[in-house]
Parts: sequence; structure tokens; C-alpha cells
Amino acid sequence: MKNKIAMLLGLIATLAVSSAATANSINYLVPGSNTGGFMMLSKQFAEEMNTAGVSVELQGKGNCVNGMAALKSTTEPSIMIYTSETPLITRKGCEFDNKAQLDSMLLTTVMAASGALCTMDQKLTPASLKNNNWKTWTIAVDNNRSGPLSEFLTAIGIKHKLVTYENSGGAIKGMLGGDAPLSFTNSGKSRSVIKAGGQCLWVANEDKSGAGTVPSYSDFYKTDAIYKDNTYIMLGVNLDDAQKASVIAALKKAMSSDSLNNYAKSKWLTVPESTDIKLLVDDMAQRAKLN
Amino acid sequence: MIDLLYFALSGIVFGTLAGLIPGFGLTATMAMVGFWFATNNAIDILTFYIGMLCASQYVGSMMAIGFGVPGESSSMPAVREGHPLFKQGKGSIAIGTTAISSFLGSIISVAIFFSIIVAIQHLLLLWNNSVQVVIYSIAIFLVCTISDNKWWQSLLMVLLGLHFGLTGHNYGINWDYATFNQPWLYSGLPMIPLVLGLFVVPELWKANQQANAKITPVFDFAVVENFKLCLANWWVITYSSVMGFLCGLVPTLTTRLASNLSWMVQKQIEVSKQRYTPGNLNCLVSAETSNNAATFSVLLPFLLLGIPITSSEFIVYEFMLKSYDDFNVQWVFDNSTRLLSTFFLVNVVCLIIAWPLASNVMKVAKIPKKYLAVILTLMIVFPVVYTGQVNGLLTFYIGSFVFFATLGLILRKYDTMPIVFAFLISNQFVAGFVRFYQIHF
Repeated sequence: MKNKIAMLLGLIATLAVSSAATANSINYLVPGSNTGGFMMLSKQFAEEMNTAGVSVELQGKGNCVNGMAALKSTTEPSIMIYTSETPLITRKGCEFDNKAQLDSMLLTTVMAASGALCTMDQKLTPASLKNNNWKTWTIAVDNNRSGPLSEFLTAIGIKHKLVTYENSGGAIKGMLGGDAPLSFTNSGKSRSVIKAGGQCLWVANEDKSGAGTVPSYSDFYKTDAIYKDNTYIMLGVNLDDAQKASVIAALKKAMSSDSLNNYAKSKWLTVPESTDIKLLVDDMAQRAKLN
Repeated sequence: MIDLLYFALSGIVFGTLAGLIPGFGLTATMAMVGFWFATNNAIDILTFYIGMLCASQYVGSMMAIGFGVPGESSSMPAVREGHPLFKQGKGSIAIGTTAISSFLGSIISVAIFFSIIVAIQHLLLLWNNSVQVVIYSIAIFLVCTISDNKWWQSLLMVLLGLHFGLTGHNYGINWDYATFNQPWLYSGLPMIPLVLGLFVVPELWKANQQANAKITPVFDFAVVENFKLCLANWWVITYSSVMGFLCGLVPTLTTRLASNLSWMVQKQIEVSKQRYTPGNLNCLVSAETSNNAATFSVLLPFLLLGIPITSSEFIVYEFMLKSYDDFNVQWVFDNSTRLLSTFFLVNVVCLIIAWPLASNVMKVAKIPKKYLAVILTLMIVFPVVYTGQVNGLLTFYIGSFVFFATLGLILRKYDTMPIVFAFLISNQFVAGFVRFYQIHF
């Protein structure tokens, strides 16, 4: 009997310790792994927000399913970084219940990322991809980008087949391992291809400005096709008006700071100058077929 | 020198903690404390990581042998072979020989690397999807053919493990499987409750059933005997080091694949020579040597190519990127003195720690069963509750643990390793086949 009581007490103590939470701050949920793009960007924002006087506590949720479940169920003031890309907002478990929920959660846009086409083959050029019509190019891509990329490449006129991976890191590793001669992934992550001795042929950002030293696709192809940037957005729940205003103000301040701009530059991200939230909500709702 | 000592010893301390607490692995530890050790000098955080990586393997093996609880998933063969030796009163042989062979495995791995450092750049490029699919298939085949079950029983268990592993939304192939529209199933079945419930609980049950005879925890620093045993097993240590070195390059699986594959191969050899019984020292030595050899080679893809291949490495890599260093062969050459010193120092300290700590582990046998039961219960329950709480799915994690522990107890007469192994590699295995199709057809 004593053993059972001791085990029970131990169990209760374990539960109590595990349940301990920090009070008086806004939970900052991250719907990705501790090493992914969401977390890396969130660390920068959390640092800037804390400096601006808005206390936030980062909580990694592993993936978008866990992140969205936590955001929908929490009763505490919480914010969560997310993206507006179609594959994510239509994925089971990662989606919004309806347009009203999306509208009430979306606080502001925070950053935008594009994709980069890279290769270890130094002889490949953007022109050779299109000019060799007889050839189908195999491209390693993360699963989120595969659908939009296929449409984009078809519009440009590049024959292709895609090999899909769980994330950007996987796609780059696959390309380096020889699964495909090209990779198309998050432009920031693609820097590692250059570090490994390869090259990035072009970046597909919406404003056609390129990234770092890598030119835009529009410098090589005459096309109206646009590959939509992956826009990072900030969601919030259980925030009163004052908290909401202070969070948005802190984020705006962070986005204009030198440190975040330098970070964005180093990661080939762009800081959106202004975005009409209502238009974005309408656009996202339409793509996700939300009522 | 002081830098090296500070970062390496700190890494050993946290690696020891990671090895002691099941489920509290390298990734969690690195994510929680890594930022303390991230400086503008990439080699600092790398020194910390090497200390942590090596210590967790040494301590994880001791925990597996002494408690029958795998501190790391790569320590499961040590549970299978080392814990029975411990129960037979041969703990000093198991732990001492394992520590020495682990040390030798690490050193051989470093020697292999520096002898083929130029060629290895090209070798790394061979680890593509097709090669990985072949390796996974061989591993599945070996699991089916050499576990304690009949082959068809193991095959059924592999299928069950794949079923458990694929449950949820599979990001790599964008495929929903067995979610029944239940949001809590979208992220899949949780690893820690499954491994603890389906593997650790039945193993502890079996160990408890066999523990009726009084254990005589005789421990001595049988240095000469241990070295003699290692010398007698020089061939096992050599080939296991080579196998571990190569397996360490396989993304994600790394040390887990190294220890399990070497264990399976050695077990096959022992079975063919009709000298295998649970608690086989050669199998233990093979698994642990391979495991430690892999702890070095696992670092190579991101040192040479800037490409991390395990989740904990991704965190280290992000910290290292702040240093603006370019990771390539030249970087390795430039830092070779520090890297070699770190690796050698860490392994020597871990080897030294292993014996005094081992004597403490041996004392576990003297702890009254009722207290041991409480400790083991907490060691199993804490990771389930902790990870469930962190992921906001506490009820699901506890429910999963209860389910898998029940299943584990029902299957206690069988070897449940095939289920666990198939579960762990399921996503890469199936995604590998899908990609194989995408590439070649």
C-alpha cells in the first residue's frame, strides 16, 4: 500500500512540475520544429518584442497541427506565427474553421520569403533550363511548394518532374545526395547550397528583386507568371484591445529595426512595406474555401 | 585550452543528463541549453555538442545495462544484451567492456575519417535516396529474420510498426493515414509513449520475472579482464566501427541504425555458430562500438557540406551559422587540432566517468525492489507526462502510453523490437520508396 501511495505522490508531483507555466506574459506559439524557419524567425521577433516592452514566451509546438490545435484551445493570451500559403492553410488540422475565425485571429503580416532554384552544377544556367526543350529537369522540392512550383514552371515553359521532401532541409540534402540536379526551396535555406560550393540560378520572389547576389527569374524569362511569396503572418487569440494594439505596435517597431532588417537580409527575407489585412483575409479565405 | 575544457566538460555534464533521463534526448537538451554555449566561434558550440553527444551515448549504455531502460533509442540492443548480463551478476564485464570498446570505436572512427578525408567528400554524395532505401530494406529484412520471433511473426510486427508509424499526416508524401478525421491523430502517434509502452514496459516485466534469483552485484574494476575481452573481440570491434562509421552518415537514423544494425549482424553470426543466448557479450560490444563510431561520423555531413542530418544537429547548425564560418574540408583542416583534442578528451573523460558511475549503477541492484519500482515508474511516466504537456496533448500521450503498455504486456512473450524499429523508420522508409518512384519513373 505504501508503495502505491509513494507512486501516486510521485505521479502527482510529476504532473505538477510539468504543468508549471510562466504567468504575466503572452504565449508565443511556434507551429514548427525548434530548428525550422518559424522558430528562427520567431526568436528574432520575440527578442525585439521583449525589448519593446511586450513580454512574450516562446513555445515550440513541433508542427502546424499541434500549433493550430494549441491556438484554438488555449484560454490564455497567445500569438502564433503562421503563413498565408495555400498548402499550409488547407492542410488537415492546420486550417482555420471559418473566415470569421481567420478574420478575428489575423493581426498583421510580418515577413515574406521566396523560393530559390539552386544546383551544384556550375555549368547550368537559367537559359539552359529553358532552351533544352527535350530535357525534363528533376527538381527536389519541399512538399509545401511542389504544387505552386509545378504551375509556375509550366507557365515559364520549363519541363520538369518534382521529387518531394518533408521540408526545405530535406530537399537540399536530396539534391546534394544526387537525387536531383536542382532544388527549389526556401531562399534563406538555399544559402547552404552556395556554402557547399553550388550556385542559385534565380529567386522567384513576387517583386522580382532577387535576393542577396542571386537575380530574379524575371531577369531571364519573359513571362507574366508569378510565384507567390510565402507571407508570414501573426495570429492572436484572447488578446484585449490594448494587448492587441501593443503587440501590433511592437511587431511594426521590430520590423523597422536595423537588427531585424539585417537578419532578414542575411536570410533573404523581405519585410512587407504594407499589406491590406482585409484583402489578405479575403484572399486566404477564398484559397482555403472558407465561409 | 580553457575554452576547450569549459565547452567540452559542460557538454559532458548535459550529455550525462540527456543519457540518464529517457525521452530527454539530445534535441531537447540542445534546444534548452545550447544558446548558453553559442559564441561567434563555431568551434565552441561544436565542442559542447561533441561532449554532449559522446556522454549521452556512454551514459545511455550504462542506463540500458544497469536499469534495462534505454536512455537513448540507440541503446535498445544494450537493454537486450547488457541488462541480462547485469542480472546474471556480470555487470562489471558488461559495463567495463562496453566502455572500452566504445572508446576504441570512437578512436577508430576518427582514424577512418582522417585516412580518407579527401575521398569522403565524394562518399558523402553517395548517400542518396536510393542508397537509403536499400539500407532501410536491409534493416527491415534483418529485423524480420533474426529477432527472437518466427520470421512471419516479425513480419507482422513490422507491418504493425509501419501502421503505427504512418498514422497521421505524413508531411513528406502529403498523405493522411488512419486519422479518422480526429485532429489529435493528425500529428501521428507519439514516439515516447509508444517506445516506453511497447518496448520498455515488457522488457522490464520480463526482467522482473527473471529476477527471482537473488542478484549478486559483484563489481570490480576488472581492467585486465575487460581489456583481454576487448582484445579477444578485436575483429568485432574493428568491423563494428566501420559499420558504425558508415551508418552514422545515414540521415536521421545515425546512431540508432548503427547500434541496431551491428547488433543484428553480430547476432546472426552468433546464432549461426550456435552460441547465442540473451546476454551475449559480443553482440553488446558490437552494438555499442558501432554506436560510438557513429557519434563521430554523424558530424561529418554538416562539417564538410554544411548539411545537418539529425534534429539536434539542426539546432547546432543554426547556432554555428551565426559565426559566418564556411564548413568544408578546409575548415575541418584548420580546426583539426581542436577537433581531435576535443574528441579525444571527451572520450577519455567519458571512459573515466563510466567506471565510477558504473559502480553507482551497480548499487541499483541493492536498492529494495519497492523503491526501484517507484524510481522506474517515475522514469517512465515523467517523459510521457513531460512531452505530453509540452505538446499540449497530455491526455493523448497518457492514453497512448496506457494502450501501448497494455499491448506490450500482451505481447510480452514475443520480441517487440520489430514493431518499434519499423515505427521509428516508417516515415523515411515509405517516403524513400515514394521518392524512388518519383525519381526513376
